[in-house]
Amino acid sequence: MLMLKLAFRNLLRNRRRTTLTLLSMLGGYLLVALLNSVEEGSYDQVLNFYTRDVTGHVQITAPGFIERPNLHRTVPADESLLNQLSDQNGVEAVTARLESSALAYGEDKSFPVAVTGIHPEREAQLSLLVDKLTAGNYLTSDLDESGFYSAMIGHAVARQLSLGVGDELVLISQGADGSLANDLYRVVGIVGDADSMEARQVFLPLTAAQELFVLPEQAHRVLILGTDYRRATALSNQLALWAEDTPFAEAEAEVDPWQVVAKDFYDTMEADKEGSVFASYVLIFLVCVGVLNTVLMSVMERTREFGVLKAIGTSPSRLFMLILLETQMLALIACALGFLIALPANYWLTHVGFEMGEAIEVSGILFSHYRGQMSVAVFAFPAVVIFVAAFIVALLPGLRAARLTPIDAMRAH
Amino acid sequence: MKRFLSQILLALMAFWLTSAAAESDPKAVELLERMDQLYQQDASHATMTMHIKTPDYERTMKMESWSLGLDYALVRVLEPVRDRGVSTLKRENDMWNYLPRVNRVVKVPPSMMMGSWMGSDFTNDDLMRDASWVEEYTVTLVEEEARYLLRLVPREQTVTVWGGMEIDIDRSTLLPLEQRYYNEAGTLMRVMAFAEVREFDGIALPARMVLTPLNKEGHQTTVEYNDLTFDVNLSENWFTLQNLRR
Repeated sequence: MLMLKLAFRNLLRNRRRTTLTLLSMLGGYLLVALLNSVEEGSYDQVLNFYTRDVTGHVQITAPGFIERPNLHRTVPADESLLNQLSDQNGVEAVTARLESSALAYGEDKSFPVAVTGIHPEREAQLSLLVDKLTAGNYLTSDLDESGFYSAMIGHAVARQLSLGVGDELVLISQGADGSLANDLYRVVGIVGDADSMEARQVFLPLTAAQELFVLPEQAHRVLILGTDYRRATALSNQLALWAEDTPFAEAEAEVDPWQVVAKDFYDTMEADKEGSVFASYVLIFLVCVGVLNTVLMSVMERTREFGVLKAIGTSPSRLFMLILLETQMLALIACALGFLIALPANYWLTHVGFEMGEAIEVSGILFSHYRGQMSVAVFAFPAVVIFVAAFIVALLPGLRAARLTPIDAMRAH
Repeated sequence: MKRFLSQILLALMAFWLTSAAAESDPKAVELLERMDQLYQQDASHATMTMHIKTPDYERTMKMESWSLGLDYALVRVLEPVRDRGVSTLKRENDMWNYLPRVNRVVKVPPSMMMGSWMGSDFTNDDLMRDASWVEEYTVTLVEEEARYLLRLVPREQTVTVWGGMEIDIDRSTLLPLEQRYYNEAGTLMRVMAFAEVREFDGIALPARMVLTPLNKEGHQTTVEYNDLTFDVNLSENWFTLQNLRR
């Protein structure tokens, strides 16, 4: 207690020195916290978007489909099974997709396309496809008055086949039973632009795709959106356990989190993240050097004072402890202040963000702002950094002070 | 002088040797032409059953076909019901499919020539073949005890689908026993076996052909002729897009 009081008094004694050290720690805290926040926030933004748009958080597929997609590798996807899946804990939305390829014909030209059968309502709850419509309307499962199913086509398909909303589209492919899959569809909407991922896609209602490819009540992927992409692995394990007593087990279906489904994407992301972790270590190092400098200076300045303390009987270990305590107290104040400043700043970053020089477009969705992330880690990590840095930094001057010979110290200027 | 003569002789011999390598053996050509015409004769009308086996599905199709020489052919699917009426027309170098479900005639692009025909192991190109093999390949004959072996090597500067072929022919009946297809690297790609010789319209022919691709495990296509007549009266004008749609 006495030590605490002493340390506190010491800090108050030379306000200017204390403020200076405090500022350097505070600056370090804020820098690490906000940088970390923007970094995590950006990954968060991208991953959140990617998992929503492309993979879902968890996928159920037939074995081998992820590595080598094949028309025959299907999983059951009837409505009651999907509903059961939706009722599971932590599941926000569920949809099924059927994926294959076909030759598309407009009036006379042909163009190879990727066909995706989607469940219009379920897909809208899960992915961002609805937002990518650039012309016409979204898919419906119903047949139109002439008995055609509706279809949405990508930009390149529309251009190559000179098709617009309301035109007829012919798809020719091979059914799962070997039959010649062919049917007429009505184009109701156009998705994305020339550069988007969907440019060569044709979207059909799931039932239409199941009829075309002769895969009744089957799908290639069942996508599950949970509450948070970071919880995907846990959700995946939970659903794998659940799936054991469902028709999925008969199909030997695999339940995988998005990290497995989009392995290449995940690996690239991780490598990129590692690169920026290195950058933030460099920053932390610079912050440490700044703190070391001010702490070292403040101890050097007080050499005479320490000499007096020793002369009146302060033990070396006490002196050492005193210096450590002072810096730790400073660190504590710096972190508390830093937290108070970082909290609103980070709140603003997370909810408003600052604008990028030029907006980046990722598959039809604009990323215009750098965003922060509100999480315990963002605030706690820099605090740990500052405490550890202050501790390490105080060791050297502390030892120096502990070893002082009173007479020499008192003579020092 | 003597030396000069021997030089000429050598040159002549070399010429004779190289030309022999490039020219087909007349007897081999005759046999190959017979193989070409075997199922068509001048004109033919057939019904056949095609059985397709793959690791993922098996299916049987019934179809009717008309042909005139190697240049004109029309094939129409009778069964299964789902594919009923799907037809393929071949006129010289062009090929169209008619899809009754979408009421559309679709020209088969050159890029699809090696694609599967109706999900079978036959390619569109198998149906398209209009030039006799005699024109594209040099053929040599190996006479063995019970069979003839025809060896087909692509002529230089000719683009061919296969890097080589071998046909076994029964010496007594002059009917094919087996045909083997090789790629450019000389690897055996697929084997067609002929079996069940039956008499069709006075001509004895193997009624069953089994095509086994060796690069696709578990795949096999069997074609069986149920009916084959040659006394049909067809002209080139019959093989039209209108008739394809009918």
